[in-house]
Amino acid sequence: MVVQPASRALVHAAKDGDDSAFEALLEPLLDQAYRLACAMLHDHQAAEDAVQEAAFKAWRKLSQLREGSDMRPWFLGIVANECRTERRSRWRSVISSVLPEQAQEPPDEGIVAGVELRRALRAIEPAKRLVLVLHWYLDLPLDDIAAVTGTSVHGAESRLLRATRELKKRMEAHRGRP
Amino acid sequence: MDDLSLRTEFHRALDAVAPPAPWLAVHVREELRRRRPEAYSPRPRRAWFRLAFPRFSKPLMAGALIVALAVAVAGALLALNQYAHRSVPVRTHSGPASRMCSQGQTTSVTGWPGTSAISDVGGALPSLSPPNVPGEVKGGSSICVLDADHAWMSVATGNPNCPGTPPCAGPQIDHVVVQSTHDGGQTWQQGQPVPASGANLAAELDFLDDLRGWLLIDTGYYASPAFVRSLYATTDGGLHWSRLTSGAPSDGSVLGQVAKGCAESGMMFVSVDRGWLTWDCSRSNGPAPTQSGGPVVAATNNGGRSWAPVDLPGICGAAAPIFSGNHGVLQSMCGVYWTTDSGRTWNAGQALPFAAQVDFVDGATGFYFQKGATGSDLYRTDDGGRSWAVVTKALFSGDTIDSYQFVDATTGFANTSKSPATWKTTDDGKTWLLPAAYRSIGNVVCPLPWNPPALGSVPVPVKMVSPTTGWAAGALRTTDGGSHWSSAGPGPLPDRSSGHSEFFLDGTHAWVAQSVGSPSACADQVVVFSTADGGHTWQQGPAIGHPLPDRNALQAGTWSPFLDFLDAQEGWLFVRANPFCGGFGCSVTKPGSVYRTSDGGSHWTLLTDQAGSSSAQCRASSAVHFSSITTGWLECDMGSVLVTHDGGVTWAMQVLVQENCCQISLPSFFDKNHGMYFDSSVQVLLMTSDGGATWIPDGLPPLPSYSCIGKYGPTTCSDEAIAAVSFINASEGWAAVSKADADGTQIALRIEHSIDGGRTWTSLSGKLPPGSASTNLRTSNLSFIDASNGFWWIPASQTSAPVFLRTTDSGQTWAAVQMTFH
Repeated sequence: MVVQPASRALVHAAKDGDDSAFEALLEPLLDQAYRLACAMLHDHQAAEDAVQEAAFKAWRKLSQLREGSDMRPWFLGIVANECRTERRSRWRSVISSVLPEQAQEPPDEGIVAGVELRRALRAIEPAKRLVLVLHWYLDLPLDDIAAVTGTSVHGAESRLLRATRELKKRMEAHRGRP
Repeated sequence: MDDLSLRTEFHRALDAVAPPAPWLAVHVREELRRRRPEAYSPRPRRAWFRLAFPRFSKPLMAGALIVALAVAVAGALLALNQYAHRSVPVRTHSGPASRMCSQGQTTSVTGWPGTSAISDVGGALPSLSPPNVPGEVKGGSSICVLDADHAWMSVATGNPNCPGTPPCAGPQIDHVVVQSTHDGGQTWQQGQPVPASGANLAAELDFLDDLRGWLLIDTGYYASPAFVRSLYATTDGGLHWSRLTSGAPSDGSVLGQVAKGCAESGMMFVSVDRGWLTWDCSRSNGPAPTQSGGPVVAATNNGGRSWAPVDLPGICGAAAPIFSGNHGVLQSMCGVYWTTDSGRTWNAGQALPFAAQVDFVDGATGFYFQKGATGSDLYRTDDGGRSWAVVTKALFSGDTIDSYQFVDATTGFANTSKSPATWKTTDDGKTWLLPAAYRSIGNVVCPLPWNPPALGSVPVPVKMVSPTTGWAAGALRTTDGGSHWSSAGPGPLPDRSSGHSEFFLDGTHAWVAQSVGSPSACADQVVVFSTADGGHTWQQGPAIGHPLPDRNALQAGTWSPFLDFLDAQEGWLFVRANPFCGGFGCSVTKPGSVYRTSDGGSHWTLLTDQAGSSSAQCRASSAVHFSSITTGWLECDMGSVLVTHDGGVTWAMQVLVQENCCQISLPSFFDKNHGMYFDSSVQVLLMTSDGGATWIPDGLPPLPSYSCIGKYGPTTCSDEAIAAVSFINASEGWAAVSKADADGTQIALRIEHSIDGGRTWTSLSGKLPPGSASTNLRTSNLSFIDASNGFWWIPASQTSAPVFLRTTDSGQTWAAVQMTFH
């Protein structure tokens, strides 16, 4: 899906208090935001909550969106931050997973098919997981990934390389390959 | 695996767990529209306004109402939409004006938002929320506050899960429950559940007095065959409800036809017979198309049994009217309508500037601010909006009004972007003043200066250095094991700002850093005091002019010092700009500065003003700790620390715990080489024996676990966790084990003891005293000072008082220390 940069007029209107303009800006971004939150949190309800919270914060902080900036990475950055907050707020009663995940997943073919990747993804630290999801799943360019993660483009690229390498290694280890 | 395959694999794996969410846009839109009026404006808010906005219905309402009161008392409440602007009522039917009760009640002195009571300076905000209702789900939230004692809150109950295979519309609601209080929120009674159904249910409450009230339930989805609006009434204060009438699209009733698809914006009864319903068509209940025209107001003359539409030409959405006798006003996004015959006829008021935010205090008097060339101009009407006159021009020059509210015709409050405090007027808006405690530098209002703890307050122990001697925040000192505390600090400087730091090395050596202002800045220097005799005498160090790169932070005084000393001579001072917290976000982009002293604080040398500049991952440093003359750490906000190996000149990021996100603290050291790091959020204990170069995960006490079904299937769970850890050397340590209660309170269960560096643990048999339970247990401070003596400070939480525990038998038994500060 291609999300066009936010119309300058809409941003101006939204900053001036036009809520319908803000909603018009936001709505095309919600699908990506929800997929990002799902991938980070693995929980539909938590993902919806994170997106809702992010939307509200975006509304509150719209004045901080710089002139001419694309709204997508800015908003996805807020969503990513919300996901961190969601994770942080959850008391970790689940200590560790001891059974193979295949047995844990519903027996849906589509869901089972991605078990290895999801498990590997969950084992990766959140900052790396974020760049992986942004690049491989949401297909964001490096510029946008850097904007979402608050790093330089070079930093985003190196983190993505490291994270991709780690992800592949984890998946291969799980499959029993070198 | 090549890139194309990996991309395909990602989509295959994650599409399966992230199904399309067609309902999401609707939910987000509704949540936004519900929260906007409570949030007043999209501008940053001050810290004490930054109260939690929970995500679900009742907590959301409670939080929103706390905010609403704070705003009311402080003068906030200026919504973006005129008709969505919900003024906090002076109050309802018993006062001079009649207005809906859904936003709380305030006077010029106190406020009561339904769940909290506060003073007009924004003091304590104790939560008086009603208890959770079993089966509570999102939706059906409404609140009505009649006066300081009487309030009602509605919530929906049902199945929180999607009733079918996703995508779904939300929870399956089966009832609406109204809870009532008649003692200011001390106790709540639950009324008989009112049957309701739907997934997107909205409710409105209004009460005429403590017994007679109305409840409107709207099942939301106008396009749905199940759409229905139902009005219930109670005559026993909300314990029992009877249905008065219902309306559906197919029955031809006014209630079913008027404002199709629009969201209710208000319900207000001025008597047992006469009432009003209003709708806002820029919002919708559910994904129905909003109405493009037609009535958005309905009135009843028989207590709600039947309704008649009120057709006001040109109106676009409406808020519930406000009456003073026969005079009334009805606000719309397009302007104000007035009546002098109790609402039988309405007339359009004088045209106002687009999006003027009017606050009516009664049926005739209202105010609005208009941005002018040199500030904000305040206008007033006393005839229901027929005419407006300017009160004062050019208010808050150089600043922007975030929100404002008048609680009566003379007293009002305003929040502005640059002010940390609330402005108040008591002369109809002619002059606006800040609380006397604040000082200003030009248009910048300085943060409140740091003040020492007040006599009689509960000390917060920071460091016990022996079984008898210790220090508490504010440089309080005890010599009897914590029972009695007295002030041993250097005394506050006259021009001090908010930045303050203390470091206690032992029983006699301590340092206090204080940020200090000047005629041109709230804070532009820092002064460090030192004592070598337990606080009997203090030496004042030189004023350190601070070259913080952020001039705004410097001028506004929004920066803080942090101290650390290795011994009586060698110390460090770290200064950073405080995160600027506006709205919900805090941002720090400026690196901090590190100073060094080798003579106990008499002289300081700047080592760097770029600490943290090289790492985008470490921006909000907030503490410093050195383990040797060369090696030290700074706290970060993103799961990492900064480390220096050259005494503080250069800093580099070090990740101690991969999974940590946001609760990082600094390691502690027993000697130059041996130290530990414990993180309760991820339950990790790390040990180092090489001065922090490498960190080895060490053993924590094994916790009882059991097989359970987790979110992703069978797994291993434990209800227990390690709340706090303390080691006196590399071998001997203690760990406090806690268990989470149903409401999130952590209850301390037992103490574990290790003498082999955490490889094996022994449960100590002694019972912990009552009170060792807190939602803040994981931020408690467990500290053993030798093999026998230990202290455990458990800070206060919303549900528990602070507790200071002490053991003299290696943790076998604990006793609460009764602390007094005199």
